[in-house]
Amino acid sequence: MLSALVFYIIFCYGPMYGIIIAFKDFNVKAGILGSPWAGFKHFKRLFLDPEFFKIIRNTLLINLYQLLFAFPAPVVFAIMLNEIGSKRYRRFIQTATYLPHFISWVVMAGLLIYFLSPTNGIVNYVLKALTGKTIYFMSKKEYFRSIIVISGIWKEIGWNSIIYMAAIAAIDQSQYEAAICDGANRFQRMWHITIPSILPTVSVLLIMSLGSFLGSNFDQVFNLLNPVLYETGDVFDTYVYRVGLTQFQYSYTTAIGLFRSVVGMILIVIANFLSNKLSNGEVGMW
Amino acid sequence: MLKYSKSEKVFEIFLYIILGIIAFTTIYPFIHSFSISLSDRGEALRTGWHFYPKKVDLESYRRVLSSSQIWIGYANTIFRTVVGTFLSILFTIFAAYPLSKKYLPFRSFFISMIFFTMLFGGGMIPTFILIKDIGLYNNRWVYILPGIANAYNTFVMINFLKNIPASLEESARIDGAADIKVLFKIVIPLSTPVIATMALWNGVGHWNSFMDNLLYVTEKDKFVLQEVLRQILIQDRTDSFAALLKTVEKPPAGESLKMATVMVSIIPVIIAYPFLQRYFEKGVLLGSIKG
Repeated sequence: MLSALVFYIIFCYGPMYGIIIAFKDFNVKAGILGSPWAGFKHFKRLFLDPEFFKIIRNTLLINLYQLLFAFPAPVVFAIMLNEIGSKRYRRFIQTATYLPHFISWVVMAGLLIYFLSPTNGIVNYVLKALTGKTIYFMSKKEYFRSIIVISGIWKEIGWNSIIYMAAIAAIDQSQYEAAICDGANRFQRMWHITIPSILPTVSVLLIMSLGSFLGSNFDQVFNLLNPVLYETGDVFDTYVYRVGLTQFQYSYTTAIGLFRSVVGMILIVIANFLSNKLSNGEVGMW
Repeated sequence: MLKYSKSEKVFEIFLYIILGIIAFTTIYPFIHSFSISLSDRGEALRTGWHFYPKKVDLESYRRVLSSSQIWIGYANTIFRTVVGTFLSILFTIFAAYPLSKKYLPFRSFFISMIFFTMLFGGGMIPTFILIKDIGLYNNRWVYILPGIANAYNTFVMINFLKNIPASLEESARIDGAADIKVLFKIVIPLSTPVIATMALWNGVGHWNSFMDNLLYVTEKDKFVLQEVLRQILIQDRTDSFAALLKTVEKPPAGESLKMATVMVSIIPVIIAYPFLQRYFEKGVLLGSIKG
């Protein structure tokens, strides 16, 4: 019955064995074992490479902006949705905003590029009507990170709000009734009941998201990226893909990948430790 | 009933408007691209709002549907979605069922072994070399086999199976049923909710993924739909339709062709969407239970 473990050994542990090429000068003919050892050569190069610091900076900045804007967005969205009296309207909003979650980033990025186009994009059409200016969004590197964060919110706000909607639904209704008897108005009820009740869920998800702080959504960034935007938009995955697989620098990019994996693992362990501590061991991955 | 003060009513109206705008921004792009896909050249190139196609022209659909690359992509994507989802759920159950039993020897070793893959991985390049070495490069099975080892799904499944009362299985065993029979006759039927939800995640994931195609497959007859789409939409290669372009006097605009391609690719998702909706909430909550 443990036949499934074979898949883990091949596809998860197999690549881990391949990591040793980060300490070698890999060439395809000699294979993993036959390639000559190179020691820490690739790691030395990495810490002197301005490109490496560029991708770290981009990854960290995108994650930081996501933490500041994309993380709270679904929380606020769920609270707003909860305040809507009409159930049918709420249902409609949910149906509409869950939809993009199921559409691939290829399609979403394709639509986005088309809508942001300076010649016949709808966004520039509205922008021109309002301000008289048009903006070449996809060829200006200063906009790229905002586009990543905003398009991420656009695609996932509805979906990510589900968990908060569930947390709100679990609140004991008698709390609200008691508050109404005490004369609390709507804003006071939101501030003193709804928000504190979902705060544990929010903080756990926040800490968990710190575990992926060096990660990025390859599907999203790759499809929106173009060479003009490398300066602000290149992240680990896109760089490793381009330099590793299209320029054949296998060993060097494996070293970059290893660096990311190790730091990423430390971050996950810290995140889990914190969330266990915060919830007294009730919530956490292990 | 509750009586709201004036400021509370104004606030609610404000919420209706804000949420309406958010919903509009997620729905409108699809309406717009649907209209463009059906519009003739002049209308498609007009800048501005497109809520419905004004001058209908089906030419772009005719071209998209007569492009063999789209159909190849479709066939490969359906293959990976159906076979891939089936196999990954089957093997997830195979891994999770024994691991849900406390008395399994070396249980904690196997669990840690699977768990470790969630923390650490070999990375893109070593995986690429491995795929090449084991002969999955330019092979359709590369879309399916690596995804079978999914630690997250396995843990969700283990958690679910733990809660099936042991007495049900024991009584079947007393009646002489073998392990495999217990699994297929008792455990799997009891797990349909979790299986349905997992099939939804997996199926959507398969339908939408292109990265494995980008990395491991270069032969066009093995491309999946998303990669075909990516070349048309992102890389602006509408040349697969170009051969047909000269045949009519007023060819459809490039935008119409692109949007028709988008529509053709998302229609199955849109059709399935209402049926999937009831699994959404269950699905998200399922993943948040502690392992």
